[in-house]
Amino acid sequence: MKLSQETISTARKTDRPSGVQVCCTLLPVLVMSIVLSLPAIAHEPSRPRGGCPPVEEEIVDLQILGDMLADTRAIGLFTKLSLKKDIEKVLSRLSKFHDGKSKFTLEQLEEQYDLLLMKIAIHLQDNDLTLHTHLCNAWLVIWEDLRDFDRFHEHHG
Amino acid sequence: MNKMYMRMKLINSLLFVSLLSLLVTACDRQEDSHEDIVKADLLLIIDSLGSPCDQVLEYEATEELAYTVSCESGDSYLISVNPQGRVDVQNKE
Repeated sequence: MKLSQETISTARKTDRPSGVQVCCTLLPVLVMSIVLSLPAIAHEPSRPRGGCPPVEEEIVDLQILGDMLADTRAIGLFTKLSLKKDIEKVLSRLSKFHDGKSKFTLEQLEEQYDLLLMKIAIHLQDNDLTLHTHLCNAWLVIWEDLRDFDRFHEHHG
Repeated sequence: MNKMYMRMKLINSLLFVSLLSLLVTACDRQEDSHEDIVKADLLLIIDSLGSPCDQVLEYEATEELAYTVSCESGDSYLISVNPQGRVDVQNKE
């Protein structure tokens, strides 16, 4: 049985996806990718960064912040020791998290980190404005450093 | 006989100290739950500003870096951080 040229060309046309078909396939994929990226956009932290007075040099490490706390006269000795212990606890929990041994989720650790910085800020905000400004600017920067596996191990490994 | 008695006493003491240190280490390793950690931190923040609380009974994160806290003392607080990084504790009427 011979096939006419017209039949073959019609068959070829139906095999090839039309523009509408391509759109129908790609549109859901496009919509899904936008929807999936929305939580990341919505989760953009509203941390006190935009309103912080500028500093010449940013603190990028929780350990450096701890060292600066040791030098300030705004905090008493016992509070310094307590805050130092709290910093070590948060770092230890994050270390366990990055090693896959943590009972806390990253969101919980983020909340614990925020509360730690709130505890530090409350002692500095009226007594050491310079260090408080450093803390304000470093709030988000340090967290970005802590949450990232490679950067965490680079600084605290 | 006396030597033997002294040796036994020393071994007993060493065993007791070892057991005690093991117990202390075990207690130290038992970590609080996330909720307990948050409650303790919120209490410290409220205490730091000299506001009465005694113990945090309940808390709710209303938004990022903002909490409503109910205390055992009967007081309720709104804790928040402003864009300048200043922590504010307001008594909720």
